[in-house]
Amino acid sequence: MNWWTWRDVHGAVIERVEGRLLDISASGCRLESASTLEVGSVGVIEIRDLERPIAEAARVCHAIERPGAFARYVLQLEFLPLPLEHRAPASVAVCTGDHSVVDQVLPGLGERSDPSPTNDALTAGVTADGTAQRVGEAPEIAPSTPITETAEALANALNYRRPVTRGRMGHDIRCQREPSAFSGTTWIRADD
Amino acid sequence: MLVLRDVDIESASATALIVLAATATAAGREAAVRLTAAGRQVTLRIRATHCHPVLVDGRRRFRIVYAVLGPEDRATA
Repeated sequence: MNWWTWRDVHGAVIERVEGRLLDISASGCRLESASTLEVGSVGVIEIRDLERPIAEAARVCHAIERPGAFARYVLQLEFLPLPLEHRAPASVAVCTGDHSVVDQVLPGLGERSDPSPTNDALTAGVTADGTAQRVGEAPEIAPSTPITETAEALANALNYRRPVTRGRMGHDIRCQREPSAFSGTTWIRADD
Repeated sequence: MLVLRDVDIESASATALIVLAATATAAGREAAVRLTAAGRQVTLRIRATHCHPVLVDGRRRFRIVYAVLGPEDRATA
């Protein structure tokens, strides 16, 4: 039977959205893009320009519009507890984290003991002239939200074979941001 | 970022797919769509040809017309 004759069809579009990484922490990252994404969308973010690329399942928490900017949208993402094949390069320190997914919603980072500037930056938007501004609270994510189910479907679609683990993140990527010497990219290096 | 967006299928044929989505896309962009129904699934390569906003139940959504380029894998029965 041909697929266009199926009844009660559910569709999920898998699209590649390019962006420039602004900040990254253990629980999420922020990037600017010419395209917006719906808050709540899940996907797999690939971070290149590292010695080894990182791929992480992520969920869109905020999409901030910056009218007039070349990259019109700032997207704030939280990482999901979905183990992928290439999740952390050897040059990035990996240690055990003790934060639930709910605790790692981006604005909540300010309440943690680690007052790193990267975490602070994650709660801020950037205006067209490059100055930072605070943005509103992220929507609350209940533990029952079927994020991982959606991510699992995505992972299957992308041929990631590892099973979804629920609950705690179980890892912590420590890195620091340096001013970029490369046009159009943000260079991230592991602890040093 | 590879992102998964749920869409509502309005109509489907062998060569075109019309969907309602929450966010817009640009004409010419290529993507893939995963269709599932009653235990079957197929992944298709698609290209957006038209996208325009519509009001559905008082909410702004986008009707996107995709040209079907071909299957990415074989449909499973």
